[in-house]
Amino acid sequence: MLSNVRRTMVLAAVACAPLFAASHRNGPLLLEDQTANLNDLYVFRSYETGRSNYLVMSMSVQGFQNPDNGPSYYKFSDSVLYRFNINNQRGLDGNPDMQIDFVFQTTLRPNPTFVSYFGALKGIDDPGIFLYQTYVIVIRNLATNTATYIYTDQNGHALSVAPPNLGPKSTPAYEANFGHPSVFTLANGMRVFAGPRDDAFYFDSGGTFDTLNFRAPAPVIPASADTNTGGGTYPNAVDGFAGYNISLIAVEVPIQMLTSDGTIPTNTANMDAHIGVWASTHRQIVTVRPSPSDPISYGNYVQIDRVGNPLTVEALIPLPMKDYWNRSAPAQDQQFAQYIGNPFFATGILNGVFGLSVPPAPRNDLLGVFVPDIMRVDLTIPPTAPASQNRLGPLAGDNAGWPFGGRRPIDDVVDIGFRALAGVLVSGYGVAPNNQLGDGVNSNDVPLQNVFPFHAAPHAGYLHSQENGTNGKGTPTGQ
Amino acid sequence: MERELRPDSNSTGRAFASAPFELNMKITILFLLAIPAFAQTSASADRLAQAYQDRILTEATSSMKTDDHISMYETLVKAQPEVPHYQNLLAGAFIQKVRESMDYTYLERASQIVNNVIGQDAKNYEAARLRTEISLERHDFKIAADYSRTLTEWSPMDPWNWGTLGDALTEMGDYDKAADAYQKMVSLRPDLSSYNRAAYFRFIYDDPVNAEKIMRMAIAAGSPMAENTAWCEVELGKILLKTGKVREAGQAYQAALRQFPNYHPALAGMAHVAAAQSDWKSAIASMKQAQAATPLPDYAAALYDYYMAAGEMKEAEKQKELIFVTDQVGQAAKEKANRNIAIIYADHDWKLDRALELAKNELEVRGDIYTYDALAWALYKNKDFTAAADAMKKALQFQTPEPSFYYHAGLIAGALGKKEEARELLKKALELNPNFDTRQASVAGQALKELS
Repeated sequence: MLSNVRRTMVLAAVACAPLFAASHRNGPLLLEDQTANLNDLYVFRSYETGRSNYLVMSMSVQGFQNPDNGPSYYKFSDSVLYRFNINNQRGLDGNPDMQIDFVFQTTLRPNPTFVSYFGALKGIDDPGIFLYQTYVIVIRNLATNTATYIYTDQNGHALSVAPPNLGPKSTPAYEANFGHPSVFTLANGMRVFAGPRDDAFYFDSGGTFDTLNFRAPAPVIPASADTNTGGGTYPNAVDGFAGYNISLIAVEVPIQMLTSDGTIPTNTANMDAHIGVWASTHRQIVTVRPSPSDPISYGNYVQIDRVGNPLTVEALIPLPMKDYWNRSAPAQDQQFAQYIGNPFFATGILNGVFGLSVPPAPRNDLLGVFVPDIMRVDLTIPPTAPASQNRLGPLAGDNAGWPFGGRRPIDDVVDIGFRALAGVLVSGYGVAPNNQLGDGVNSNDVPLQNVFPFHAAPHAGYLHSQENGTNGKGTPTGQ
Repeated sequence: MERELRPDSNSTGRAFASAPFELNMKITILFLLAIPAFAQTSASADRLAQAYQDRILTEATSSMKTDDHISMYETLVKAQPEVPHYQNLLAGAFIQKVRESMDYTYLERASQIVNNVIGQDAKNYEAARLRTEISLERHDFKIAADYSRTLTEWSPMDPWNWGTLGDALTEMGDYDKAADAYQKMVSLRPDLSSYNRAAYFRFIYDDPVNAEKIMRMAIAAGSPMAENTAWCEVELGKILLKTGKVREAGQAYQAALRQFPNYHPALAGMAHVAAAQSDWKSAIASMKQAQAATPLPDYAAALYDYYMAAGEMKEAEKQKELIFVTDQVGQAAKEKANRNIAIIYADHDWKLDRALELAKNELEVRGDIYTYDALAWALYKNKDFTAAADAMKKALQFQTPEPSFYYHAGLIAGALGKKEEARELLKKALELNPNFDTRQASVAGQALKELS
């Protein structure tokens, strides 16, 4: 008995080390918000055969997904409203004229297992997809204050999220059985997709974040590596995003649905020929106190994150302002002009560290693109056929790329961005070495698709390995 | 185009990937240590170096386990003791470890670091925020409220400070001002941390339907820390169990265990669910697992009840002994306030004078409805019915749907001869959940029968 007491004494001593053993409610406090975090926005006239009069918009969320992250994998958050904002009037002032919202709903189907997906799945309606997500699309016209709710495709099929690519046993022939069938055609002529994809962003992030330790000499890449995609990648450069998936939300919209006058524009001088797009995530405010007058008690949506052009937050907005920037609206971006018009990246890094001659502040070339921070698309620029596209876009004469024709998955926004920050779009600065900057990675790790939703199929969990690096680099995904 | 996060919502995935994560960790540390050398080459590059440091760190650590965080930050602190940011990150990881393990030695380590940083720079914002959290963990609620108020002045747009202010005020029983603080928090940023607090308030204010809805929103919002989401799943389970949704509560606790395996409050929740169905074998097994993870007196008390119900008197006695020893150790450490032990003693008619002492002293630390309930219950058991009724009135000021509140209130009313009121209160307790407690629910049923 005594020994028993001694034993319990020891146990109790562990239990009572603190003087405050009684509980209190210690709710978590977080710094990071994974499900509402936006990565990239892509907007471009479709280069799929016969679809040039459609505009494609896609946003990627939840970057750096490990393809083998079972048993739960990644899902869209039911608490987040994912939004495409379209500005088509008033000279693109950063105020939305139209919005396309995605709202997700998760259904947990009867599940005898501990995993979210099980068995050899036969298609997107297989009951083995235990974690089943669907979405509702809301198209809002802010001028007329009307909203259209879309729950199914034109055949009445639920708008379902593509399941993850588990591997050849569970999700055989992924793209044919799960990827493409998750592209839905709506009664209004739009096509939509939501689900996992390969991350089309490519960047030697490891080299850059190792204090600009570019694997190509300095940030200037040699002519042999400064080519279009395919074979030109600098030998040692590493795509830090290779092998990772993202969750993609994509829409393909007839252009006339997006313009203020309802036409497909042909004259670039016409103001209606230009639109601006940005993506944002929102969550709803709730009221803490119950109120009898408001039984539902839920309030407005608050913006959590936004993305317009690539590199804005990384290269132009000072870190301490990041949260504030994310919460603010593009229409108020003039307040950031002091940073964007005189970017530290250009003066401190390109000039200060690497000794490049850069244009003096204020940088009106940058202000024209980044204030307000919306992705501008000249809808009169015809799409470039896939075989003729250039990763450097307008810098190499391919105007359908970033920043004139929106942004395509192929666009090397890092190299374009470095060079633009160095001033190549300013008269007198489009010279060496400013126009030779780059990270050495010139293309995505896997081939992109030339059909909607354009991003490559997601990497398969079964094939994923962190030990050999990049999950079968260069191997087409989704087979 | 932000990539700070590498979301990873389940720890199974992490366990499989632990070897490469160690490698990643080493590489990240090397990167970070290289940065200041670079920064010295150009004074103006300092800002960029800081930005890179933060982004590399967040990206590299967001999918790590807390122990990995700790060892990584320890390495950084050792290599660069002069960088307060690393000290603060290490302290933050220690506080997260307290959340997960209830091992308060980590809190002391966090506290030493934070005091050290603040000693050198009284305006260090990161450290000041952590100091508030530490005060909350120590139940220094008034100090935590003061710290939080100062920080809301420093940075009124930071939802964190409104959260800690609301937390402190809630414990102090200043619900009205706490609701204001939480409203500011959720309006600034609706996410897991603000939603779960709003949900709690809905429950306090007798709105369990919306409490459940909002807690589900918190879970859907998620966190890079698996424990955070599991914590909300457990809270959801509690709301459901108290309002009689036993099966759904079980699902919530199970979801928590999937998120964060072996999570002790979720194991305890599973035990409560099994006990509500008189499945003593499962209840004992789950609660023993919870106790093995964290030996809280509440777990021993629950085990005592389960063993008694299962007719295993000897095992029950062992748990009782454990509770007494726990309290003795507390007394030796000059612990005066502990409403959890007060409730356990009052529930079982053990050491009733000590129960009253512990509850009364708790009231000096905080004045929330749970403390008033513990006091009322201890007063009732000590036969001070009028004082018990006064305290109970404060506990039930918002008609919070806590079955045990109504049960306590019913017995107190009965002792004061208010039979009709007693009947209504006891009925309400059993309506909320007819099996709200292994022992007390049957006492409530018996009392109701005698009153009818």
